[in-house]
Amino acid sequence: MTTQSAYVRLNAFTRSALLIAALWGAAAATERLLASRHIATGFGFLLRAAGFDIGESLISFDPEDTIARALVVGTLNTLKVSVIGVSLATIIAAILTIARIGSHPLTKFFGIAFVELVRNVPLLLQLFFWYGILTIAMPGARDAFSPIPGVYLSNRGLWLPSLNFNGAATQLLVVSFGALLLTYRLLTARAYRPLIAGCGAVAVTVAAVAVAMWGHAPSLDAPRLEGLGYVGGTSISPELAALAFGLAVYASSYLSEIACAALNAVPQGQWQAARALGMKPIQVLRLVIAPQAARIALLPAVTEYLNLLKNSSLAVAIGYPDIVSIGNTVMNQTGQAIEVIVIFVGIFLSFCLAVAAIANGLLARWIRRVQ
Amino acid sequence: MTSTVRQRERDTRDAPAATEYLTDMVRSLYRPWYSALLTAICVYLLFRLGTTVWTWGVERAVFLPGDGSACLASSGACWAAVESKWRLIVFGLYPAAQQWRPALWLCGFFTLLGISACPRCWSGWLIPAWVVAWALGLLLLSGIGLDLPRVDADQWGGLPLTLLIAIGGTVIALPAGILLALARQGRPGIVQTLSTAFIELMRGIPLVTILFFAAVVLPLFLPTNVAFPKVLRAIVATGACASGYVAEAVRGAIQAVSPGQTQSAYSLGLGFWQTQRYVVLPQALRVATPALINTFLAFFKSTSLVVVIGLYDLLGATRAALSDPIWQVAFVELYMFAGAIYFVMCFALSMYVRWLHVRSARWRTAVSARAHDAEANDSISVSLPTA
Repeated sequence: MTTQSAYVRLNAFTRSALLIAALWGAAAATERLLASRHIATGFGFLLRAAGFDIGESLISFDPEDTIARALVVGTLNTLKVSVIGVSLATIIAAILTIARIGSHPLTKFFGIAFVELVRNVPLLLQLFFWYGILTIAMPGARDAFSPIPGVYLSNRGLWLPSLNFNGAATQLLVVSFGALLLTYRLLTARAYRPLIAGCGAVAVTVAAVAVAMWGHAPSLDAPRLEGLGYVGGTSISPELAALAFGLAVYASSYLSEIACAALNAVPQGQWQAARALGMKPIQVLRLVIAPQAARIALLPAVTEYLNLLKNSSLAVAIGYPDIVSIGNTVMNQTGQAIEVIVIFVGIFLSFCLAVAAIANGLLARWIRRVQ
Repeated sequence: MTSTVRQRERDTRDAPAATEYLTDMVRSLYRPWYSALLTAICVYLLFRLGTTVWTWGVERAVFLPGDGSACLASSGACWAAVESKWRLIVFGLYPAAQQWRPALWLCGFFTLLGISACPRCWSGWLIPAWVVAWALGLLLLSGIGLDLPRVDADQWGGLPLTLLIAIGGTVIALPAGILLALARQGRPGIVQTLSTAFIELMRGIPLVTILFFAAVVLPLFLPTNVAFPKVLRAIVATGACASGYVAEAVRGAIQAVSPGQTQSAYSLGLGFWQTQRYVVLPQALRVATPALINTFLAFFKSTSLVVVIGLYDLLGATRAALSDPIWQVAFVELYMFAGAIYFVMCFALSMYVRWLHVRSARWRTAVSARAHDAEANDSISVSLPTA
């Protein structure tokens, strides 16, 4: 119908060269424009000292560290809140789905009411609401709510005692990983009785942990009130708790919609055939329907998890130091907005593309296994 | 080869009577023993929820506006905060004497919304009507062109600002998204690569990042003497991000239209743009309407993000109201008020989408049946070179 365009007739090498030349030209033009406005350009600012402190981080950070390290801390915080959010969201979505696919009208009503309430209110409003509850409505540090000695819930966050392993950490990690692997193999083996396998898995895990901790008794580091705050132990800050919980609740409503739609998309004939073979509804759901529904639901669910990752950028409004929040501070401090936004785009795009590639690969493997 | 292989399974039993649904539902409340237990738990939870909401929201609540001391003293809801702050939340920092202007525009907006909702009134005039309504909103609020006192764009806020950003974003995103979808669908080339890159970029990064880009970087590329109000930057950012999602929805719908339609149109001598305008897009846009309305719903809720670039939309104005130290303790009531406004609009829109979906079932099955018949009968098997 049409002849091929000139671009398509070039080979891949020439196309990439053209693209790189175009990007280089655009970058040079932007540099000239910014220089005429007396705005600094280039990525050299990454090696400067940050000059600001970060509230919470997975690696050590102080104000003399580089801005690049600050951005790494932000990325790790984003990953942390996303992982917590994804786990919580999956658990809440599982409960919601069970409530909605059952035949009990009242649980269905609760499920639908929850989903409609959460989906029709903006996420940012929900985050502000949860953050308000965790800061304004909570008591001060001195009057903290303490159900068990060592656990303190106040407007400074949830403080918990932490375990200090006294040198046995690596052994414990290795042995726990081995025990988990064994548990997984036991639980997914073809011919098994669930109760015996479960008990066996628990026994193996407990024995492995006991062996690892032999001679290295862990000590408890409990938080103590000192002045206006707490010292010792670990804490979950109200920002992290509000962000993770709000993101999880919001995503779980969409995830339960996806799960219900996937379960309904499996043809009715599967139900009828399985029941005709004498299986109970619970068995049908677990052995016949759920695997097929999982294949249907995988891509939409992964899209929703990626949405959770992108929504974690709302931390900038709550005060949790994720990548967008720290990048915003760097933008205000150095004025180099374009470079910081390029870093944002790079980080988010690489996460999204990597996760999407893994999900597509997983789906291809599943479909191949069926065929 | 018969076409029964592709037929959907048909349920030929008679539909149960309405009363049977009711008795089945009531019976499932107690039939297996654990259902009865669940019913008891649910009824108890509903009762506790109801009584808590009643005592907090009505019995112990403070209704009369005052100086806030009554609110601090009582343990009930502080509706006095809503009474004293609702104007700030709904209209933002707009001068009180001129608030009849955004109120007038809101009336016009809801009228147009009602007209657009009834399918009998759908015609080509609706789209220019929405663009004109949006432009009128900009003019009325700012006072440019009309014999009204000027109100600076930085003072706009509340519900009119939310709606202006949402509609402005839609006005940009719909045409841009359709063009991007056509570009991505088209033959391989530089246009397809660029449009794919743009769509994946817009869908891969959060809206907050795009808002920062529009707020901080975009003014650098304009001449320094051009005023670029923050509201326009927010509209451009929302429109750009939404165009990526619109493009994906429209692309899926274009693929749902049978290729025989395009091929017949070409064989009749229609050009590319004529085919799209008269044959493909009318069908595709009807198929894509629920997805497009869902996208609009998502971006209507995402307008609340403009608080990070310093605009006082509905949520931003609520935050501003909460910064008043007298009413700071009433954050639940004020967030509930703003949340109720969002909830009513979004819930109504999602119910409307469902109604549209049910209503369009008849012609949707007709479209897909035509597509199935075309594939099964191989009636369009002319060996045209693939485009």
